[in-house]
This record gives sequence, structure tokens and C-alpha cells, in this order.
Amino acid sequence: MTDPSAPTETPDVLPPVVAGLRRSRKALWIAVAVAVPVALLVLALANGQPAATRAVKSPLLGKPAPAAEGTTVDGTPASLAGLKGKWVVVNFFATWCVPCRQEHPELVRFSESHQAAGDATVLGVVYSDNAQAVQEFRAKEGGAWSMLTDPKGRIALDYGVAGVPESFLVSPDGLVVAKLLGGVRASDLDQLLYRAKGGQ
Amino acid sequence: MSRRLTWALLGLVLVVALAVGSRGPSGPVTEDQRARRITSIVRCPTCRGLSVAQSDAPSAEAIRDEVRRRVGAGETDAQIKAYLVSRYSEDILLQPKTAGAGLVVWALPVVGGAAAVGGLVVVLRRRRLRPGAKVSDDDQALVDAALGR
Repeated sequence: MTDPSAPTETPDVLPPVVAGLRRSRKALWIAVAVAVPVALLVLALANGQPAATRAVKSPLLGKPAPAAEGTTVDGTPASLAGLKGKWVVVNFFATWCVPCRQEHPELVRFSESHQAAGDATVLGVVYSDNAQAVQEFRAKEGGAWSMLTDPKGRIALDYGVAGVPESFLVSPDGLVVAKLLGGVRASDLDQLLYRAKGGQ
Repeated sequence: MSRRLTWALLGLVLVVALAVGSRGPSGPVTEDQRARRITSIVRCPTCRGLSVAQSDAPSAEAIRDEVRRRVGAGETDAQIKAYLVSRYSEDILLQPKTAGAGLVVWALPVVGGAAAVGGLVVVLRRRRLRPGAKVSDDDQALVDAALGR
């Protein structure tokens, strides 16, 4: 007679059904361990705030800003020259670009906060996107500044744009003061503007 | 033919081959060929490791259009490259710079080639100066027997 209290030994060879169950449970845990961090990363990238504004070198710094003129997404003419006397953030934008969508509220905030003073504004340039998509986006998300179309990418080429979003701060006398790579923050733009105006 | 003449002929062939090879295709170059030549040494700004000539990215297309337009307007290759560098910096060119650290990339093959030729000359001289191997009497007898001497 066997003692029921004695510890049962695990057989060396598991029945195929048990081994299969163990394997599938292990695979499930691995799948969960991979899928959860990936999903969290995707969520963070899709909904996160734009990273800190990154000023980079450009051969255009200190030089006259290339001409940016043409027709806006609404079909009206607009140009950078027409904004002379104001600080202008020339922003290259596309609706398919996630960081562009993330920085948009920041540009809205910046634009609105300077509207009353009239010292600074934004001039958008559509980068490899269609006017209708941009119009629909702005109807939903706001943004009252002019948004130039750039069908052949000539304006982007003149500014040496390698991807979106990219922004350039242009002084009231038309010189390029800064090139900003990636998404911008309104507070960083304000700080940059303050320094460019001669503040410390 | 003396050995010296052989080496001189070999050197001449090498120099002529290098001269012909570095001249590239002769004859008149069309605007399209010029544009293609320029865009093949311009880096696509939005892609990795591709020239503007190889890429279908919108930014590469814009550069191709602009290069074609400037070639048509009669600008030289140097002027077109200078325009692109003035927008994107030197990084836009796939060829390394001919100044500063970039010069090392151009100089290294020349220095390497010169070192290889120098090494070869030294090795060949040493080999020629080495005294002939001495043969033992037993070996010499074996050779003589085999040759029926």
C-alpha cells in the first residue's frame, strides 16, 4: 500500500497533452511580455507631448530667409515677405506626420498668445501632403495662420528641409535666427523669441 | 628584353590605364546626363544611404527637378552643388570634403598605394640580393645521376 502523504514524484516524461499545455502557456507569457511594452510604447508615441524643442545648425542661420510665397490651402495668396516686421515661425507640416499633429496645439497656443501684441506669427508650409487634408485637419484642430501649399517642394528645398516637422524662426528684418528640428513647444518658442529679441 | 624595360613598359601601361580610366566617357554630355551625374553624388535628405538619383522620396524628386532646372539654366556643376550645400550643408554631398578631415579619405588610398609599391620594391630587391642556396654533395650527386651526368 502506498502512503498518500508521500510527495508525488514528477514523471521524467510528461504526457503529450500536459507538455503541450505547458508549451502553449509559456508561449502566451512570452507574447504578453512582448506585446504589452510594445503597445505602451505605441500609445506613448501617439499621444505624448512633443519633445523639447531642438535647435540645430543650418547654413541658413544669419542669412536672409529664402522666399516663401504662393497660394494657401484656402486658395488665397500669401508670402513671408508680407509678414516683414514680425517674428515669423516658418513651420513645415504634414497631416500624415504624427509629431506635426502633436506640435500643432503648441503652435496654436503660440500664435494666439502673440496675436494681440502682433509681434510674432506662424507661417505654415505644407510638406508632401494635399491641401484638402490640411484644411480638414485645421477645421478640427484650429490654427488661423496662413498655410502655403508647396506642390513641387521648392520652398522645402530652399530651406533645406529633410523631414517634418521642421521650423525656422525668422527675424522682423527677414534673417533666419534658428532652425528647429522636430516638434516645438510654445514655451520654448517664447524663450527663443525672448533671447532673439536681446533678452537673456 | 631587359628586366628594366619590362618594368618600364608595365609602368607605362599602368599610367595610361589610370589616365584613360579617370577621364570618364568622352564626347558631348547632354543636360540629362549632367543632371544624372550631379544627382548621383547628392544624398537623399530623407532616406539613408541612397543618392537623389536612386530615391523616389518627394524630397529627392524636388532636388532632381531643381538640378534639372539649374542645368537647363546653364549653371555649372560647382554652382549647383554650392546651392545645395548652402541649403543642407556639406552633408548633402555623398563625396567627402576635399578639406579638413575629409582630405584623409582622399589621401588614404594614395598613401596606401605608394606604401604598397614601396614595399614591393623593397621585397624584390632583398630577394635579388639574397645569396643562392647551397646544395649538399649528396643532393648534387642525386641530381647528376638523374640527369645522367
